[in-house]
Amino acid sequence: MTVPRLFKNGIAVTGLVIIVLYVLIIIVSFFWLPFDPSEMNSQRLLEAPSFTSGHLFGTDEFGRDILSRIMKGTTVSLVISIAATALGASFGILMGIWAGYLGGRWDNGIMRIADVLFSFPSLLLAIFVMAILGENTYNVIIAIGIVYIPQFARISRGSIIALKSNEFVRAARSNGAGRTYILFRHLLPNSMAPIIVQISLSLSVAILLESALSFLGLGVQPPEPSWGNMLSSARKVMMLAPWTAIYPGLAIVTLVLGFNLLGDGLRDILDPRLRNVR
Amino acid sequence: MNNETILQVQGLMTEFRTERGIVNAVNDVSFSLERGKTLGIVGESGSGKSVTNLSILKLIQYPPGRITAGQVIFKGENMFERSEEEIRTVRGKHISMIFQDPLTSLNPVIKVWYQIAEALRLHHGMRKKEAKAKSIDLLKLIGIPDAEQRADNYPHQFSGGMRQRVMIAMALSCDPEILIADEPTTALDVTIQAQILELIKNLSREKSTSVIMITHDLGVVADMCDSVCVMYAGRIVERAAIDDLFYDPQHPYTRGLLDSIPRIDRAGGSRLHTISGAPPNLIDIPPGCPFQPRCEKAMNICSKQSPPEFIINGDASRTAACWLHAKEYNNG
Amino acid sequence: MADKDILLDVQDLSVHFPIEKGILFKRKVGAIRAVDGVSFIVRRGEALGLVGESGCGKSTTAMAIAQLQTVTAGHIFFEGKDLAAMSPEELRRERMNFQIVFQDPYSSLNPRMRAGDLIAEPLRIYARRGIITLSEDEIRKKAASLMDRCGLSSSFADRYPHEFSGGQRQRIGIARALALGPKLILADEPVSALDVSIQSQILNLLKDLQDEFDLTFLFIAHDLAVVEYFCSRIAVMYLGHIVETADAAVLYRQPMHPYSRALLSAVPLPDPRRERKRRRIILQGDVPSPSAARSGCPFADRCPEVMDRCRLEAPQLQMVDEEHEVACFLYASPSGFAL
Repeated sequence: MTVPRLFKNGIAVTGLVIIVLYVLIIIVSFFWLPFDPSEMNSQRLLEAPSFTSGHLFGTDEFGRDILSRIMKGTTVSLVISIAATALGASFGILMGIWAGYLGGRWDNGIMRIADVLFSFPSLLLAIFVMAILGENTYNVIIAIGIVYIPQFARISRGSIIALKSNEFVRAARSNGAGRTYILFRHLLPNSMAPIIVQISLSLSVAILLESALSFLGLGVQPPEPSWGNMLSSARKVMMLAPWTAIYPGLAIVTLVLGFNLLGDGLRDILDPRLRNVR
Repeated sequence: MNNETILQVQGLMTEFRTERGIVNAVNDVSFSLERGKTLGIVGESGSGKSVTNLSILKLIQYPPGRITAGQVIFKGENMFERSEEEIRTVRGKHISMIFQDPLTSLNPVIKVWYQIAEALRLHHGMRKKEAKAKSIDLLKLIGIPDAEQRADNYPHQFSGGMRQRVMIAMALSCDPEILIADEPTTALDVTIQAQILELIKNLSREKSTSVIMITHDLGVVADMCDSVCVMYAGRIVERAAIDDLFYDPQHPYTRGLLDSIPRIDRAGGSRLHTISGAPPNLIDIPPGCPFQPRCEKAMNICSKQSPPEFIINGDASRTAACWLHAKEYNNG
Repeated sequence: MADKDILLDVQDLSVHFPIEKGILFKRKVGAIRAVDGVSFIVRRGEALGLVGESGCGKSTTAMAIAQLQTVTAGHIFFEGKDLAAMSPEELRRERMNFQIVFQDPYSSLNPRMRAGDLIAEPLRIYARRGIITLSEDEIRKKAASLMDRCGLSSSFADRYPHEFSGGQRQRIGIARALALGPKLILADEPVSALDVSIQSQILNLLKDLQDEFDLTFLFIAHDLAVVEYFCSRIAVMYLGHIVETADAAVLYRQPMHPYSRALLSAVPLPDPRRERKRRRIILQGDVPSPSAARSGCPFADRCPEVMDRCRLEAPQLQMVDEEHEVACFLYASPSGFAL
């Protein structure tokens, strides 16, 4: 029922198309890249984009092909964004649904911890965590994941609290159902709509966070290409060779846009008020 | 008794466009209301009783709703030919409404007296002070204790019954000629319902206000109304003076409804009469008479052709939309 | 006491909800006394009606009996056994014997489960825990036969709740309540969310099921006509207290407590000629808040026949006739015994 509705929603489809495009780029990049992304070429430093040279997006200050680096960086960006969201979502949802369902002291305890995490700006919190853990790609995942935990905890707690006053929960209890059963069989499936929307939006924010961290030199470490550290190194030569900044920036913007469109579309599709019930 | 007709509704049709198709919420509805009288409109959920009355005041949101045909003649003038500006004056000043849920109908962040005074200032150009005094008078009239102090309260500080009384005070603030009450007591307890109904009855008697009482409760109808229209699937299936409806129902739906309600004045124990099935989905109303699939007396014609409103005993105000009353099928 | 006829015995039941203040360190500043010292019995095979207006504690009483609500004080004996004294495992076994039919046919069914699964769910839970032994096939057959019995074609088993009308959904709820073969049904306003023409269908169904399965009912409703039709005995509640219990016919013919009288007279009859002749007792004011401190009779503030004594001490339920108890000083002799 939801799938055909997804395809009727233009916004969601646009987002989905963009994301699928990037996934295709990743697949292609495993087998073929225009140039070796880490091969330096002192003959072709900061070359402007051109068809004749084969460097469609130009080269950077070490003469490396920007298109190849962007394609390679897609994998890093998407993997980080998906893994960090998965990490944040799984811990956050578990915390949130138990807090919401058990209520009382549990709720108070869990949510105050979440509040503390929540009170830091996302990027600042991620920088803290990176500073503690050290700079490497796996730690970027953990840092962004930790930023996400309170966000998912909030959302899932809210929807569980709204749902648990439903009589079907009482009905299940009167039928001898246990807590875990009620939580996973009755409450969680009904609270998925806002969580799915949050997931798609988190995926896009993760791209931005990863880029920001890498830009600050805390994320993915060179020479491994990531969109963020490409931008970071482009900073010095941006005035001279704007393409070094424009193309990685465009990559970030379009993928973030894709996730956001999908999230917005899903929000409309999953909103029960917009669904026609007889 | 003067029998001046104050409101006349003729051939009203209202439809809603939905994803699944067009819903004919009100289908060719006509009735008239006399000054000082109370008309009941009874029906179950989805029968179109509320939409009918929203249509009278042109309060149908477009889209998805649209009034496609009909006339509403208020004191000799067709409301649908008036401008939006003119209708707004009629609303509130001449015709007021009270709704089922008094909490959502009141603004939670505005003091009670101010909400009552709003209509007075709007329609009568009263000054703030004057309007406040009149609002307090109205609160006293509807039996709110310590009206002077309570006037400064916010709606959530009032109980459900008191909020409904505030709604009535708002509706009455401009001495309307017609009061439309849409399930005014459904959300309230019986002892509070009794207070509210008594209040409406007294006010309509004193000021000879006409009342349209929309309800699903036949007890409330018996208590309040002079005449009744019974609605089913967007149509009026029977109209009658109050006693005729209860003691001599002519439409099988009315009869079934009266027989199927449990009553405290009759001994329990025996099985209740039931009407089988459920009211139809308005998107696909069955062909012919909308009640025919549930009707015990359904005949061949019923599923083929929708029955017109037949006049009973030569009294134009007494009709039943049922083929049983057509000459060729009526063998009794 | 050990009367074999008594299925449910509620003694001095109280449910208070604490009113708390403070965000991090909550302290109790008062209590809403939703149910305040309620005692009654339900005999095997009867239908006891619990009537009262919103906030009188009737639903809370039912939820406390179903062990879905923490009890502040008092005891609930089911077939002579104290439910509060049971271990969670014993209680789970006992739950098979009392099941609930809920008020709202929309929120009482999980929107993501199919009708057949909703009805089979209690059976599956008990089978998985090894309390009953039924194969998946048998469970499915039983669910199908329950659907048929409750007037729903078992071919609808694969449909979701939103594909059914309100009345049909209530039938699903009833079939689910019957699945474990209960002795007692706690019916919490089972028809008040339904249309008039559907109410009578559901009431008839419940009555037929009562005969067929030897069910006992605790029937909670605010609609007196519905209660009178369905129940043999009625208890009237006001502000957490039972003010009168009587045989259904007796209560309607001869209500004794001033609140019962006002309640009955407030119900409009679908009979215009009698309506015109009736004198209605219109109560003044609203139901007071159940959190307010109170000494004396809970109804004293609104009672048309209030006496000085009523404001000082609370009247106890006293037998005034066989099967007729009332908590009102009007019927008490000075020595405290019933007239």
